[in-house]
Amino acid sequence: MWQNTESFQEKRLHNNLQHLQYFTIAVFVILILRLFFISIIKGSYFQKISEDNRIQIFTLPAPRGIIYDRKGKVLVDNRLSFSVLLSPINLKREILEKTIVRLNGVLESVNDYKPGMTGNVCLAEDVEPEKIFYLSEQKHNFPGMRIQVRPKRHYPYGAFAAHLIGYLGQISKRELEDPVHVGYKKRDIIGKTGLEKIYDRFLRGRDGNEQIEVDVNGKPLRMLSHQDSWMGDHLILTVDKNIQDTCEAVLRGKKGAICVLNPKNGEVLAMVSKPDFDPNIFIENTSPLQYRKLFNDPELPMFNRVIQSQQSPGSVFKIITAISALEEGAVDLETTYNCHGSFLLGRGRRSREFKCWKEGGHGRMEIIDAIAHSCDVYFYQAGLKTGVDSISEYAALFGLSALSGFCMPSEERGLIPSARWKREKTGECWYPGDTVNMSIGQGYVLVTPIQMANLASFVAGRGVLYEPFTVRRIIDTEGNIIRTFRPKVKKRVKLKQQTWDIIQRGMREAVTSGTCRGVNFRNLAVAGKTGTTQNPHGDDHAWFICYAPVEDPQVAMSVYVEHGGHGSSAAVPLARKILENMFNLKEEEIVEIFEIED
Amino acid sequence: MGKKTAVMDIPLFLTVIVLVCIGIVMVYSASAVISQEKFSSSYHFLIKQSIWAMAGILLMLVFSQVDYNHFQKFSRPAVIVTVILLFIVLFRPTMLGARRWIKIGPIGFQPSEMAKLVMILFIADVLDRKQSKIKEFKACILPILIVTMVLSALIYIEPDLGGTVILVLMFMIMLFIGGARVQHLVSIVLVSLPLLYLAILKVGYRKGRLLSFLNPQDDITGKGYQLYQSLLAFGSGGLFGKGLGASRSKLFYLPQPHTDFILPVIGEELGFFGVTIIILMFCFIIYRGARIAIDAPNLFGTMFASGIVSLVALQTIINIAVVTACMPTKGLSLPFLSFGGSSLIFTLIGMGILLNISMQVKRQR
Repeated sequence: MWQNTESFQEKRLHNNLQHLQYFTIAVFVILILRLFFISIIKGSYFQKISEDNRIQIFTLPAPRGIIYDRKGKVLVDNRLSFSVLLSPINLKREILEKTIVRLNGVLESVNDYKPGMTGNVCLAEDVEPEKIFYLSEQKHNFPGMRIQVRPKRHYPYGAFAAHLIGYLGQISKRELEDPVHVGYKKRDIIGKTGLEKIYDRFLRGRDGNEQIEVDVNGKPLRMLSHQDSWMGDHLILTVDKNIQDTCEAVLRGKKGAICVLNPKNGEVLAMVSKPDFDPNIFIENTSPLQYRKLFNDPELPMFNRVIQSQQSPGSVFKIITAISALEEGAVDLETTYNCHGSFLLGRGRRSREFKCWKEGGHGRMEIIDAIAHSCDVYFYQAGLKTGVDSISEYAALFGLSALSGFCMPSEERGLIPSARWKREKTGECWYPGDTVNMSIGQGYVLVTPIQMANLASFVAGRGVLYEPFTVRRIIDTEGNIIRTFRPKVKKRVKLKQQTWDIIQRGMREAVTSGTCRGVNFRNLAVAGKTGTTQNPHGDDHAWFICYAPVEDPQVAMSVYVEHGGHGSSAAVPLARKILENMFNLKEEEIVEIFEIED
Repeated sequence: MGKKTAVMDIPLFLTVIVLVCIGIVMVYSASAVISQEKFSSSYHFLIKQSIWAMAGILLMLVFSQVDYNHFQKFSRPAVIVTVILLFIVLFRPTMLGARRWIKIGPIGFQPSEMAKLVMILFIADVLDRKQSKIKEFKACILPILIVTMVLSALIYIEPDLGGTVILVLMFMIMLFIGGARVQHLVSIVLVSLPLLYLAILKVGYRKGRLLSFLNPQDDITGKGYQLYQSLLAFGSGGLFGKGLGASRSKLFYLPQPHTDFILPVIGEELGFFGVTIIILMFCFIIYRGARIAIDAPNLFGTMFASGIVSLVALQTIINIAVVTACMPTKGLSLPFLSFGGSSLIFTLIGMGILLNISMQVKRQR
C-alpha cells in the first residue's frame, strides 16, 4: 500500500504478520487450556491441598548484640523469655474462639485479638515458666497455639548509664516511614534513644524464620525450613564501668550531670545524668500509666542533662573571659585591679554597682590570683576592656553555642550572646552592664555539661580538642572487628604559649590555694575552676570543671549539680570522690576548708 | 499518503482503560494486607498505582496526538540516551538484589522498560530506511544486532534476565516480520545458544528456578514455592473464584502477589472465568494492534505498530506461562495489570503511539 513498486514486499510482510497472529492465537488458546486444567480439572485437588495443609511462617527474633564497657564487663545483655503465639489463619472460627477463651483462663493478660487478624499474633509475652509447663503439657487442648522462646533485652544494672545506652520500644509509624529504616517491619523492636538507637542497625541482628506445614487444626505436620536468627553485633564502649559507678554513686539522690573525658583522645569515660530511669521497664509489660508517669515527671528523668541541660556556667566562664582578655591584649600578667568588694559602672546618678562575691573584696588582684580566687571585680573590668564581641568570638572558638560532636542527636547548643544577637532578639542595644554580667558567665550565657567537659579537655590539651565518642569498637559474634572508631581532632585553637601557661597556673592555684581546695591532693596535681549559676527561682546551680594530672592530663571532667548551691561546696566534693577512685587516692589528706564562692 | 481518518481506534482505547482499571482494583486487593504490614497503611500500593495509571493515561493521550513519523528522526539519539541511562543504573545502589531504578526525587524509573520501546523504534527506523537491503546481513541486520546486543547486555548485568530475553525475542520477531532471511535468524540463534547456556546455568538462583520449574511439587518451600503457591491459588479459585478480596494466597503465601504474580490472585478471587475474560481482552488488544500494523500508511508505521503489539503480546504470554508453571520464573510483569510505574507508563506510551498510527490508517480495504 505504501509504494506500488514494493507491493510484493508489502504483501509478504503482511503475510508474516498474519502468520504471527495465528501463532499468537494458538499460544493463547494453549494458555487458556492450561488454566482450565489447573483451575477446573485439577482445581479440587489444589483446593484441598490449599485448605488442608498450609504453611506457617514463624519469625525467630534475633538476640541483640551485647554492650560491653572498655574492659569487657557486660553492661547490657539478653535473657530468655517465653511468649505465647496464636496462628489463626487456618483455624475455624469456633475452634479459634474456644482456644482464646481457654488461654484467657491460663494467662491473665491476653493481648488484644481481633477476628480476621492474619499471621501470628503474640498473645502474651514474658509468661511465667509454670504456666508455660502447663500449656505445653496441655498442648492438644489449645489448637493454633505455639510457645516460642524469645530473647529479651536485659539491663542488669538497671538505670546504669541509662541516658547513654538508651532504651527499646516497638517501631512507631513515623519511624517505619523514615527511609533510614528500610528493611524494618511493623512491630519490630528498635532502639528509641541513646546507643541502642544510634547503633540499632548493628545491634539488632537478623531475625530467623521457620516454615511449618500445619493441618486444618493448626497442628504442625512437619518443619519445612529453618533459618536460625543471627545475633546482632556487640558494642565495646569507651566507658569504664568502675568510673561510671562512682559517678552514679556521687550523684545519687541529686539532680545534675557528670561527664568524664580522656583529653588525649576524646573517649567518654563516664557520663551520668540524674535523675534517671530503668530501661528494663520498657521491656517488661509496663502499663501505659507507668510510661506516662515517667514522661510527665517534673524531675525530668528522661532528660539527658549532659547534652540537653542549658544553664549559665557562672565563674567557669571566666576561663573564656581571661583567654580573650589575654589574647586581645586587654590585660597581661602585670595588670592589676583593686577589688574593694564591688565595682561601679558609669558615673553619677546612672551608675550601677556590681558586687564581688567576696564581701570585703580581694584587694589587689593579678590575673592568676583572679582566676584562682574567682575575683568578680577583676573580670568585670577585664571583660569591659576586652568587649563583648571578642569574648563571644573566643567562646565560639572553644565550641560554646555549638554541638559538641557527640553522637547523640538530641543535643542542645547553648547560647553565647553578642550585641547583634541581643538586638535581633530583644530589640534592645547591648549595654556595658551586659558585658559585665557576661564576663563572669551570668546573664544570657548558656552552656551544657558536655561543652564544659570539652572546655576542660581543651585547656588540658592546650588548644587541641578531640571529638567525644563512646563506642570504641563494634565486633561480631565471632569476635571479628566490624568497625573501629578512631579519635578525631574536633578543633584546634592556636593561642600564645603564655596564655595557656597563665590559665593553667590560675586553675592550678585555684586548687592549691583558691576556690577548689577540695581536690588539692598531695600526689595528684589537679587544675580546676568552680562556678555558680545564680538562680532567682531557687537554689543556685553548682559547676566544677577540672583536669588532672596537670603535667600530663589523663582525665578532664565537668560536674554540674542542679540546685546544688555553690560550686566549691556542692560540685568539688563530687569530683574529689571520682578522682580519689580513679587514681586510688583513698588515704590522701587534703585541706578541708571550703571557701564560699558567688 | 492517503486521506487520514483522524479518528483513533476507540474500542482499543477503551479496552486499555478497562484493563488498567481492573489492574488498580486487583493491585489493591492483592497488596492491601502486605501494605498494611509493611507501611501501616493498606493504601500504599493502591495510591502509587493510581497515580501512575493517571500519568500513563495522560501520556497515552498526549502521544496519540503526536504524529508517530516525527519519532523516526529521534531513533538514534534515543538509543544513545537509553544506553547512557542503563549505564547510570549500574552505579545505583542495589534494591531487591538488582540495580534497576534511577531515582529522580521520589519517583523511581526503570530504564530497561524504556529500552524496550526505544529498541522497537530503532528497528522500525532501520528497516524502513534500508527496506531494499533487508536480505543483506551487513547492511541491515548487523546494526540492529549490535544495538540489541549492547542494550540486552546492559540489562543482563543489572541483572534482569527477563528484560534481556524480551529484547532478544523482540529482535527476532521484528526481523521476521520485516522479512529477513530465515537463514540469518537461525544462525544468530545458533551462535547465541552457548551464551544463553552460560547466562542461565552459571547463575545459581536461575539454575534453581529452572530446576524447580521442572518439578514444582518436589521442593515446595524453596525455589518452587512461588510456582506451587501460584497453582494452589488458581486451583482454589475454581470456576468463579472466591470473590473479590477473598484470596488467601496473597496473605504472605504468594510472594509479590501484586506484581509478577497478580494473575494467580485474580484467578483465586475471580476464578477461571475472570482470568479468561482478562486474557480475551489482551487478545482483543493484540488483534486490533495487528490490524493497525497491517493498515499503517507506511513501512515505518507497520514496523513500529507490530513491534509495540508484539511487545505486549510477548510479555503477556511469558507472564501467564510463568504463573501457570509452563515456563521457569522470569520476573516479568503482566502489562497493564501488575504493580509497577515504569512498566505501566511505557506500555501506555506505546499504546498512545499505536493509537496515533490508527488515526492515520487508510480506510479502503
